[in-house]
Amino acid sequence: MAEDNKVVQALMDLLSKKNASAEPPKELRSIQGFDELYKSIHHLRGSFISLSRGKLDEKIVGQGFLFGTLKDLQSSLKHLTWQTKRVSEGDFTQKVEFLGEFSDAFNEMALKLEIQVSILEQTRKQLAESEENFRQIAENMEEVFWLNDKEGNIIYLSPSFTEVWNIDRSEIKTVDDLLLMQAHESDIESVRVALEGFKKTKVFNKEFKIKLRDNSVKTVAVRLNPICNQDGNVIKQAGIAQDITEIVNYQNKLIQSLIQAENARDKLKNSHAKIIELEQRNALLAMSVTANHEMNQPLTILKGNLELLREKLDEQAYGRIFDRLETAIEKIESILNKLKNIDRVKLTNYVGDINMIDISEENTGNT
Amino acid sequence: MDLVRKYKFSWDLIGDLKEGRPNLGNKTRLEVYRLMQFTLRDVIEQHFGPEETDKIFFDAGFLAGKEFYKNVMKPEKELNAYIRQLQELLIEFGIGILRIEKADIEKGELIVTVSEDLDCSGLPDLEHEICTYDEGLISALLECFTGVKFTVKEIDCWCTGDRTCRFACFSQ
Ligand SMILES: [Zn+2]
Repeated sequence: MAEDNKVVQALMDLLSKKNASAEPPKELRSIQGFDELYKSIHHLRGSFISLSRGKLDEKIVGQGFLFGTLKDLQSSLKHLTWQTKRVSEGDFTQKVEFLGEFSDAFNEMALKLEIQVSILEQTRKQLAESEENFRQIAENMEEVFWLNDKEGNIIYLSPSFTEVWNIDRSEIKTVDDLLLMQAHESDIESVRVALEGFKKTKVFNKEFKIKLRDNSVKTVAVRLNPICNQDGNVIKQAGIAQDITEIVNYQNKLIQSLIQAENARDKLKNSHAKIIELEQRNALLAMSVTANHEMNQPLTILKGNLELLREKLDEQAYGRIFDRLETAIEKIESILNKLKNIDRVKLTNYVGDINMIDISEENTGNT
Repeated sequence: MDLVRKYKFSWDLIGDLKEGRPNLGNKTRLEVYRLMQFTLRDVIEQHFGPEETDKIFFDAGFLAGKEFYKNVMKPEKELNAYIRQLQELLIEFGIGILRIEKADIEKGELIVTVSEDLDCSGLPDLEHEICTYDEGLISALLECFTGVKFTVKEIDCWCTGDRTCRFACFSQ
């Protein structure tokens, strides 16, 4: 009876105690089959403990229903481990069959993972495409383009910077480096002021000169744009700069050419006026020569015959008429004389649209 | 020696089941399958002894695996996809539930289990593994996929009280 109690106690200890001896109590070893039973249960116990600790590779030695069930469980866990690894490697076709609720949960997880991964993959692809497009644009545009954080640290600076500024991009850490480091002494102060102003107005649109290390000078046009988040706070800035040296040079040349053209036009206008005046004067001279030539002779005849008439006719009766005739003849002579000496043609209005030549004394040089 | 072959296997021997069994279809009771297998095994053993019987069953399983691969399976390049297809087909054909515990194709080492196995699940304890036909079948299916010969040994079997059949496979 006491022995029976010991047997029960030994088996209970195997089942319930944390520490159990691998060997049965000495006094019970003589019971036939007990030693084997004890060791079998002890081994089963060890296998349960291993499995509960996640040790799946320990060999379960023993046969029979309980051992078989444990082996089945071990096999399922090993298979799930293998499948989970495949899923983690991206094989979402893995499915768990005939393991009750666990199969549903696992298969749903694999399906969701597959969907998520394909969305991620799609997004990654789109991102890569968009990055590639951006890179191509940035690398092929002549304008210098950059992005900086709100503290002014450069996040991206396009390769064309080196071509315009002629220094390596790695030297540029901030927007201040970019815009002030090489700014020409004549412009640097105004750039600084504009940058200060940009903080308040968010507007920076400026042309200024930069002096390169080889002392050559270029002109750049720079524009800054703030990039805001949904709340309207500035999170980044984008800048764009264009080398406008050639444009400015062309502009200057154009302005000079315009001035020259203006001068030439004035000169031409003067020459034209002179030509016209000369032509008019020549015409006048020709006319006065003609007039002098054609009219002097009849005037001389007129004067001679008036003289003869004055001698023959009564002075008392005709003297005043002769005087008036002589005055008129003298006036004609005087006009002819003035026409001969005229310097430049000046017209004064006669009546309506008709002009007449000004032969006043300041115009003829006669005093 | 040259044998005059009378029973050379070809897939045609499976026959046209639609035409041949319009009412009963391709289903039969599993008991009939086992009846056939175990009576055949009995008689072969009586004629040739247990070792030779196991060898014959292994070879028959191997031939079945080769034909199954050739006539039923779709070609796959990737091991996981191949295993996945095999798992689905073994369920579809009611052969068993294939699970992989380990598959290191580089080293040529696999451990697979087949639960609810067609040949042995539910059999009484016999104290020895009996799934030699499955060993041959798995061996052929691995060889067909990898092009390398595999030794396949059943290390746990329902018949040894293990409730699942576990096979260790090593490339030769
Ligand atoms: Zn078996």
